[in-house]
Amino acid sequence: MRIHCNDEQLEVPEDCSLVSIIQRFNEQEGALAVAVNQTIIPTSRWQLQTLEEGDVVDIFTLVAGG
Amino acid sequence: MLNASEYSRYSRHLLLDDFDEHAQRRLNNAKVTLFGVGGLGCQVASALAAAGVGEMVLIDDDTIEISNLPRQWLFTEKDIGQKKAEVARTRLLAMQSACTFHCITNFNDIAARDAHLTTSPLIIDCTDSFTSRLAINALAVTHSVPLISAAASGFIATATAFNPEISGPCYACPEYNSEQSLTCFEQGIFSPVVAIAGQLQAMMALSYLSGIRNPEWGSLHHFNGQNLLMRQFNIQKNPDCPTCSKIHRSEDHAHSL
Repeated sequence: MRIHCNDEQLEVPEDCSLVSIIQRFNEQEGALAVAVNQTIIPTSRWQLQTLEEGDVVDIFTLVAGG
Repeated sequence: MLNASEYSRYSRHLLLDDFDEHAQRRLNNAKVTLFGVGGLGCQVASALAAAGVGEMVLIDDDTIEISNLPRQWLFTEKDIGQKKAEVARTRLLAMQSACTFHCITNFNDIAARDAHLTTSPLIIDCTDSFTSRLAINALAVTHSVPLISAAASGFIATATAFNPEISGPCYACPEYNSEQSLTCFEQGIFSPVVAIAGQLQAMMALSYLSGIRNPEWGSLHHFNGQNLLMRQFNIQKNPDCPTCSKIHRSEDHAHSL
């Protein structure tokens, strides 16, 4: 199936988990925020969250300065 | 309602759709507790004071350093070494003499802080670390006070409003891995980016306090200064949240007595 991750189109297996996508993109330094279809997924649910055809995943670094 | 001087001063507010003398008066009567008077705090405090917010509590134990000056625009070279909250009060009073400012320059002065929180309908978090944001979020949940939180590092700015009164999500609900979060010290900060984050907070605060519009509670606004894109994400309430699922709000406590 196809999903979108950080503006890239990806071909992934049907039973693809969110955590496998995060590991693929996790080259950035720092804490991550991860959203599926514009909803932030709590870190403790990354392992269980599965993806569906057409899902849009956004992975971005969490900032804390001010 | 407004006198002639106030009417003239706030005339451009009064021309806005949905904004009238009642909205301006609500700003004049509003009290806000602001944690942090650095890059975000200078922006928020200036915007709120200029717009006529009547009372502000400025909480910061930090002193002004030369590296603050590119983005903390309330301060000058002569202020280096002085307390941020106290210098900010002086500058803001020159801008808005009708506003009452309370300074707390000792984070351990919990009694003074909590006394203000009980009479403040809004907390604005302008601090600079994940640890302080989690602590302030816990205070907002405990006191059941809406919280507007923002952050900026590098070219990224984020801002979100949370409202414990409506049992929405809190800052801790996403369970971010806080030990790895990035600060300005590690990543640098481009001064317009922190200004944008602060002005997003000011936008939400002034809209809320004037009564013209509630923020979209739990929406994370994300700005990328490298491509100027603004995006929006939803934070959902997490039933296993380490903060809001564990803390008993003062309101709940009062009901249980």
